Amino acid sequence: MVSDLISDADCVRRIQRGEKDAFEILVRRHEKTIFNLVYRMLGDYDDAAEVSQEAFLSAYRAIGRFRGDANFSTWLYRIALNHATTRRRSLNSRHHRTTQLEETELLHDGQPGPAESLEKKEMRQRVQLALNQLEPEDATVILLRDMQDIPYDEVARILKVPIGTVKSRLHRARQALKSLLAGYFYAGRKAI
Amino acid sequence: MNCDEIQRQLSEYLDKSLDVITARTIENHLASCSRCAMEAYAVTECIQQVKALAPVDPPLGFSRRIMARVRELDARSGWWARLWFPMRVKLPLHATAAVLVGALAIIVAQREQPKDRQVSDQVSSGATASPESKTADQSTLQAPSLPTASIRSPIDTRAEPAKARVEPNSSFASTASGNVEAQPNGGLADDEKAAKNTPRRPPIKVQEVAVDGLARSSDPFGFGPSAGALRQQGRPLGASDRFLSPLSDPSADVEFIVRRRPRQRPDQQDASAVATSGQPSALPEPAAPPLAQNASVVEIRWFTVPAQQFEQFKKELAAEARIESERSHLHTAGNTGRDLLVKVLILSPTDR
Repeated sequence: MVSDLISDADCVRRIQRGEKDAFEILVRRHEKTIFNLVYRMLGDYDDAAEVSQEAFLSAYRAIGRFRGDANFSTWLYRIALNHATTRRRSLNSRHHRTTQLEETELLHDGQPGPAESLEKKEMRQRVQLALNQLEPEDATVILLRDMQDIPYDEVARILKVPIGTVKSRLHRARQALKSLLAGYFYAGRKAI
Repeated sequence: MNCDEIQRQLSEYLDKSLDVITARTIENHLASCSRCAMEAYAVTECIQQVKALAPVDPPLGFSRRIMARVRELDARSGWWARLWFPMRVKLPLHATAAVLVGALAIIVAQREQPKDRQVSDQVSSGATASPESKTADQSTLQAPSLPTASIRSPIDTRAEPAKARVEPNSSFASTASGNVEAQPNGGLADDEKAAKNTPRRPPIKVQEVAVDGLARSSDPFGFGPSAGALRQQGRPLGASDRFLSPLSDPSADVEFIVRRRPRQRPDQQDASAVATSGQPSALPEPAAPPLAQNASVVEIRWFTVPAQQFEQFKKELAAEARIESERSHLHTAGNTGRDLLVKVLILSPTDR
């Protein structure tokens, strides 16, 4: 597609010149990544759809001030994570999110379940539940590094912290996640 | 390296971001330490499980909904955006405009302030002129600090500036209908009717002036319904005005004390006009005694008159009002070829 040949920076320049339709290219290019990040941060499909949409609209409103010092994706990640963190803090009822998780996983999972083992599905739900129980900063760094596979330096730019902070925060976050899931892992290892 | 140090670097080891030597040291330790190996296994499982989280598709029409919101935003904030964006251009522009407007407002306020103060002084002094002031003695009238505009009848004081109708091109004759004072109710309408009944004559070339040199009006004499007095209400008083004396004033070349003629009936006006044009009755009457003790000064007017037209001016003045006194300071003026500064002190028609 022609739109694939246009870089994010070009799209941003076009939007800043008044070609508002260029924003659609950016939305289509980043919607899945942003939606997944927000979804895993919140664990609720509808909340994720709403917050992702707000994140894109915030980016659109602020795009006039985007100077191109960072990648557009870095900037967009930052906006989306800010929105998701704010929403996550406002959602105090984790039980509510857990219930929603079970339904949405079955409905919207990319690989529907008939052929999938019940064990794997259950594990995914438990991982999501554990992510929900982490501090938002810990969940953020795990999702950026482990789920999105973003390098340390880029994570540091997204979070606006030094690389050393990213490493120490990631270590702490993985330890916390391991503590929440350890029972399953050790049980599996012993079974093996 | 002990177990704590190994476990502290385990996360980076699993991400393969450690140098080769440190990585090999950790690898050797894990091979020999089951506790650390179990820890490494658990962390690796965490990472793998997070990586294994299935990607979820956004709702259908997600991008379409976003773009619909974007267009809605554009439509709603179009005028606002045009006002403020691009900010790097609009903000300095607006800031400059705001500063200019502010500066202009300050300048206007500073200019208006002294004017307002003078007008309020004028109004307050005019308002204090009670009917008893008609019988004010001469010393009161001579008070040097009394502004000229305040020396007028109570009727003049009541007349509102909004009712004052200034006719810059009105001639001497057209305003000389005998309506020397503004009537509170309908006075101006009467003046208009009278002005229509009065034949017009070309104005003589005199210029009513202020002593400070500012032209007061192009209306010569302005003996109409006290329009001049009303005009003066809105005129800021110069310093020299405050020192005008209703009586002998050496700064004038010629001084007149005149008495306005009483209001005439329309049938008398024609006769008066004929008499005026016929000259005989227009001659100044014999010099009246100096200002009577109980005389009420309605107005003081200043004129510049070309020396060669002075006699004509005097005749016209006599046609409009009865000259009760004339005093000339021409011997002090020296050069009689220049324009003469004429002071006309107008008395109420009823005082005797």
